[in-house]
Amino acid sequence: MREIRVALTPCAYAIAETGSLVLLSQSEDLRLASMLSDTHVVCLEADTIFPDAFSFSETLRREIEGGCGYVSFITGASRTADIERVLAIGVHGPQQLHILLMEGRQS
Amino acid sequence: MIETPHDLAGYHVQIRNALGNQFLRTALGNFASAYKISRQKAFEGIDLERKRAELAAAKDQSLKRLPELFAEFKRNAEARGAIVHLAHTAEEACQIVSQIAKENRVRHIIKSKSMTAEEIHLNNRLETDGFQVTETDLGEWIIQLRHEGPSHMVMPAIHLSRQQVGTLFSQVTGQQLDLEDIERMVKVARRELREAFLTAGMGVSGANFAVAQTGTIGMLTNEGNGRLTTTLPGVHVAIVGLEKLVPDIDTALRIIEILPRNATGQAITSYVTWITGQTPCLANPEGKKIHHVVFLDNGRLRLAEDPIFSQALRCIRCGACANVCPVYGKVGGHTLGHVYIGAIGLILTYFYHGTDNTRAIVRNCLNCQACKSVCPVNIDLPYLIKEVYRRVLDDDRKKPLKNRLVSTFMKNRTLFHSALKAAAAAQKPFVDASRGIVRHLPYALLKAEHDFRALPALAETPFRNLWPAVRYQLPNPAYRVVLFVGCAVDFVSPEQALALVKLAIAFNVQIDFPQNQTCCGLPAAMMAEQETAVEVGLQNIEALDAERYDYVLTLCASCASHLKEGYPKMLAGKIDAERIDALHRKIIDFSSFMVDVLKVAPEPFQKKERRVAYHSPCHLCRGLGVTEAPRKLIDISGNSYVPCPEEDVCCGFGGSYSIEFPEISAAILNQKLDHVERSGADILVTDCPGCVMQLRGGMLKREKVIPVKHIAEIVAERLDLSKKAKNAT
Repeated sequence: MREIRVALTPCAYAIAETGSLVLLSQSEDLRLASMLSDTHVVCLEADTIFPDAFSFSETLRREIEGGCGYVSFITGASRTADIERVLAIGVHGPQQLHILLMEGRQS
Repeated sequence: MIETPHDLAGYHVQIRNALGNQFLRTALGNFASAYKISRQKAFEGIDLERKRAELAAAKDQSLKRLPELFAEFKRNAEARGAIVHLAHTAEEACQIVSQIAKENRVRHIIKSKSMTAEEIHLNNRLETDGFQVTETDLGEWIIQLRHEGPSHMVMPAIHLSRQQVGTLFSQVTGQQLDLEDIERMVKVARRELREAFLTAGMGVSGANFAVAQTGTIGMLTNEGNGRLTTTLPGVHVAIVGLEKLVPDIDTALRIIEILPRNATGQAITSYVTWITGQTPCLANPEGKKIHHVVFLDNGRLRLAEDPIFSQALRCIRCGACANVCPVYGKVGGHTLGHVYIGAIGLILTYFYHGTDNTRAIVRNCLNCQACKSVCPVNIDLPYLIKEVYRRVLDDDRKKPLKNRLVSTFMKNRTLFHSALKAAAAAQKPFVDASRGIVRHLPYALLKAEHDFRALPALAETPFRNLWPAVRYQLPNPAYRVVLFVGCAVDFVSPEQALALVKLAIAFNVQIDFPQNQTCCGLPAAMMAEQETAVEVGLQNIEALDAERYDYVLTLCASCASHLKEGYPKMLAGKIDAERIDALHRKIIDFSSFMVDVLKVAPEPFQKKERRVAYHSPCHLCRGLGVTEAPRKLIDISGNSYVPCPEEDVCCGFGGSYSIEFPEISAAILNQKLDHVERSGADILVTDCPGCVMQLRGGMLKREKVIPVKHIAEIVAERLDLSKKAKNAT
């Protein structure tokens, strides 16, 4: 667990306004993969993208009430500006986030 | 660890140390400028006024039903396997957390960022009880290693240089680090703390909100440590202030929309985490996370029912009130606050950490209203700070000498004016008449620290005594106005009112000046001398008789703002509502009167190639919302406006603030004067005689002296009466 270089995870939804991914992270493995890896890669289906957070609200509630005890909005890589306000990317979470956008299905 | 002086003497020592810390000054100064720009960018295209009002209303609604929301949260969270507690006191909360750690046989506890945990001094208690505690937020870990408290709610280590952090990390790791390489330091933290994440038995987090509808707690984070803290250890305890409870997900989304933008200018934090009940945790006996949510009361339930202070519980801990505070910008959070810092800190410290810790810090407020202007939930922070100050005075049952003096003199108008007349006579030997200043500081009254600005001399003849010779009657005036002159213009700078009279005559405006007007009462209100403020307020309403005039004209933005916004609040129920309302409707500042009412045009003014810099008085731009008229008036009246940075940042006067905290007042003043000097302006103007005194006084102590005047003076100077006659209305 100390050395997860790359993690590839599914991604349930996304929010366009802020460029945020939504991972339904009930599974412990999914959480560990997305938190401990140096590089996090997700597959995002284009038709699961909501325009903004408020339009996603109902779906979010349904997922939570349906049993997802850990929902994560992820926007970019981990970061901090705690030292002299200088932005540093890659703190405790992944240092890189790659999004594979899957558009449509094969007919 | 956090030692806040309980008296002013100790506090002044702390202030001097802070002001002497050059790195801190530079870091805070850079931050103050950068923050305003990033905040503005973050809110582009967003109707911020509407969003703030909506979020404030949603929080107020929630605060009315905290016990109900708690019950609903508990029900929903426990249905999902969480264990929910309510701790009435800080002590109880610490006890609960310690007990949870004990019964789960935990040895090592990791923490992600929580101001609520700081509030109850949780780490101290856990360490006393024998647990090893490691902060995992980078800033919090740094200050933990240094045994300090946070100097900012969002960026706890902002007061430290990279060299200081690098040296600290070198000590911790036993390896010499490059003291300039911040990236490297962050990687060191990643490596060092990764071990803690993997071996700790319990993770303690805070929460930014708690959704009653679903039993969900939410966390806004950037580093990833919040996620690891709540995932890796087998036990997760969340500490949550009761006021974080919101009814539904939509309200939580409102907070998510505003908090990152207002705090750091981010559209959203890297992570938003929604945790509901138990999640799989394979290392645990039953394969499920042990999840506790500890809600903290510590006075919140009582605060929620307080008609004055409940609004303080709307706070979403964004830190913006510190970011824009001119005082914070000079001394930082360790000085302007206790555990909670900035404007909200001056208020909450009283309720969560007692009178002793509040006594000194609550006085350190300029009342410049910058905090209120950026609060995302519209808390009237300056008003609450003054109210807390009043409570502290009541608790101490001891009024400062200045309060007693002010009350005695202000209530009795004749006594007040006679005293000023006597002072004007007594000062004569010490006055440099050519510059209108007192040559030597009255050292009996003031100390060397007060020497940062030349003190204005009282005018030989106050305006009210000049009036009989200056009064006039116009046969057919376009407007009838009553002049509220204010003490500063009346007794120190009557030439400003004389300039106004010249303009009024030229533009066919009839001015009346009732002699029985007195001080507007703002100084008394600022010292929490409510009774005195009310008395003079009633005197002035009588004297001005606003109903009879088109406008109540003022030259002092502070007086105008107090008359317009302060009087209605203060005098409600004590006098006819219509009279207060007439005053409120008709009060107008000089620049707005010239530009928006008289609509003066350039023709009657003689153009002069003179660059004019402008200082925007706090009470004008934030108190009255006037920003355009003065700048337009400069150009209309034949001058050339040249912009400066930070025009709307306080001059540092703050009335008696500059006497109580001269060191900070001087630092704020000179920053402004540096900007003006760099702009290349020939003259500096403003619309407040108090600001004129402060700015002019400071200028006279500098190498390059740029003249400072009231805007009325430069407008009157440029008026060409022959041209005016040609364009007579």
